[in-house]
Amino acid sequence: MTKIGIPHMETDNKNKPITDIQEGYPRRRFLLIVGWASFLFFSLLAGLLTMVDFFKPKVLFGPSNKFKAGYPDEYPAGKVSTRWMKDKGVWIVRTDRGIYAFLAICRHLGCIVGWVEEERLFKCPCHGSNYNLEGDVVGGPAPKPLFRLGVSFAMDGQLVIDKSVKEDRVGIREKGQYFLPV
Amino acid sequence: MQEQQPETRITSSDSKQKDTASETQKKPDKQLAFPHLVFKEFIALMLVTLVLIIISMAANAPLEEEASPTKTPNPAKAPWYFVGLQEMLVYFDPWIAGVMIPVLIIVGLMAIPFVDKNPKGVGIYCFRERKFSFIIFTIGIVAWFGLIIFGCYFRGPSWLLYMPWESWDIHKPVISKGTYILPSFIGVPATIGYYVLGMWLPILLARNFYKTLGSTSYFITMFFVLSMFGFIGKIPLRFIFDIKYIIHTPWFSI
Amino acid sequence: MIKRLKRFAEWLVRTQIWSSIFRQGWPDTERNRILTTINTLVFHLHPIKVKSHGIKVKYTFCLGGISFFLFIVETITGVLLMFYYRPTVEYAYQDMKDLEFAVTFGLFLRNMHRWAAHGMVLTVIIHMCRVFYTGSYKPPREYNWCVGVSLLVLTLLLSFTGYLLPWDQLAYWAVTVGTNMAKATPVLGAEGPFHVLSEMTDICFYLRGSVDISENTLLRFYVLHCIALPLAAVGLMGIHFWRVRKDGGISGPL
Repeated sequence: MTKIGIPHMETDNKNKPITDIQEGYPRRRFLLIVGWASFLFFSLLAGLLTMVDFFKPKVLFGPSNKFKAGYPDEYPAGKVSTRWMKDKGVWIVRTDRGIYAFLAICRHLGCIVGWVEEERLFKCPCHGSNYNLEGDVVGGPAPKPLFRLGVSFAMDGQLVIDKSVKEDRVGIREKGQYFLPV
Repeated sequence: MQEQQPETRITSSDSKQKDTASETQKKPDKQLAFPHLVFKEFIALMLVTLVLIIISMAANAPLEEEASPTKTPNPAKAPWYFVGLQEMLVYFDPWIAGVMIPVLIIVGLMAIPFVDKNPKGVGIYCFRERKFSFIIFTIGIVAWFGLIIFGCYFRGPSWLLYMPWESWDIHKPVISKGTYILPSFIGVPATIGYYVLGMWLPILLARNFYKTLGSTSYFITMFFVLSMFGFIGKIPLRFIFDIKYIIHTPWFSI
Repeated sequence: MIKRLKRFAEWLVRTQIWSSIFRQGWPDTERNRILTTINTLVFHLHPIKVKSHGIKVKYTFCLGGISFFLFIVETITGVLLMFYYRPTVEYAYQDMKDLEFAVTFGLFLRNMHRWAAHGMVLTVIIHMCRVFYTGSYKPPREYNWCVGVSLLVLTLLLSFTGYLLPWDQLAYWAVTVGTNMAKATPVLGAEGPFHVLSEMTDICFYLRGSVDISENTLLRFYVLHCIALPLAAVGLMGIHFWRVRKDGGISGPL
């Protein structure tokens, strides 16, 4: 191993550690160290928190989460509707018992899942996750089922889908605001 | 005379060796950076520029249609240097493939000079003096590029297995469901056993290796080495036995 | 004619303007060559004398130098591209098309920027392999190895942030997949194990500046790609080159 340093320093007494910071005044020395340490700590902390807050956008622009999706009669039973796929990224499913909606975002890494009618599966193009009509994972790496969205009726009888209300837990997702019996 | 011939041959080869030795002696230990180094660098830069210009004229950078948030192209592949990670996503949950593996790789790489206690083999491509580190590093690099190549050329729509010569238009059903989860009374002991045995066996069998490294370096080294083999090792588990998770808990799954 | 030219050259070298720029004479003597190395900003990155074996192409393959050169190519082509690119959802893709069809050498510049970026990722990785296989990370060069690993990470981040800017399908979805991994970070991500933060406060949100990839994300990636990360890279490169010299120059057998 090669030692890198300044050769003459090693023989000189210049190499002795400098310990004269308020030497002989232990309390002063203690306060000095504590003072500087807390100054550093708090200024760094304040700086960090400010930076974190700075990078958090306060105003977001985007389309509304709620949208009207037409009348229930427009959705034939046993079908998955592609009608709102392109604009809103939402699948609307009507079974013989009622209507529910899926957010078409794969729970693996956020790709948009597609509906494959021949296999009756939702398939993710990114990593091949597959979901059945219930939204449950039947293949691929997705760790959780698809989100179901809040569905309700508007005053004029149209469906209202709320993308900010989502649920994936079995037992809750089939009831209440996530399922509309028709 | 005839008897002496072999001798002269030896001496001639000897003198050759001496010649090369004296050549290296004659060659100065150090040379001026200008012009010897600077000119070589200049030539290298010219060549790189030339290659760049030719490639830039021959091949266009990809540009697809405008981004659309509701339509995912199938397949959606990451840039090639991240395809290795994307391929790992098939075998692990995102928090491992996308976060833990990159962090472990970076930390592991940075740890190399501090845990490698072997001072030999500096300044020379030398396998013999540092077999262990050579082999481990090479396996890592080969695995990394192997995953990249596999992800780039063997994955088609829906990230299914497509041979490079197969058309992506062929529709393939999902054969492997890959949802088999090992019961926790097998998975947890298997994982712990893998790490414990992996750390313990070399201490028993290769005591010298353990001693030269010292315990701290040894355990850090073995942690990274075992993790690497563990990550690579889950690939065949998934392919052959359809195992999705080795450990499955409500909070995280491996 | 040649005589006149020669006399002209001799006169030129003696003028005050010439000698104010080049402080040393024509580099045909050892003294002037040394002075050339010392007096030139770029050349003085080199030591005056370099170990002979380090000059050999087959020792370093010029990889570090090529990486640095590609970084410079990226800077130049990148700055030129910035003249015609607006980082907004409305204009970004349109500007890419304009670059391809309406800007003189726009397509060529974009190709060069893209291919040099791929090349830089590749050369940085191979440079790391070279350093590993020659044992050049060993003491006293541990710290510089870590700086190098950081530079590799920065190179990948630079490529990744640049990937979004064309705002095409490829870009959008590669970055969707990439940033979604941040969501899976343990504790700090909204969907990772042991998550404590919501979708509106996790690190993925900070990275994107919104819940989905949006205007904010594009601007963030643009600033990171053009200002923040290159500055960080330049700083680290400064340390990297400085430490090569301070840690004893090019590695060699002891």
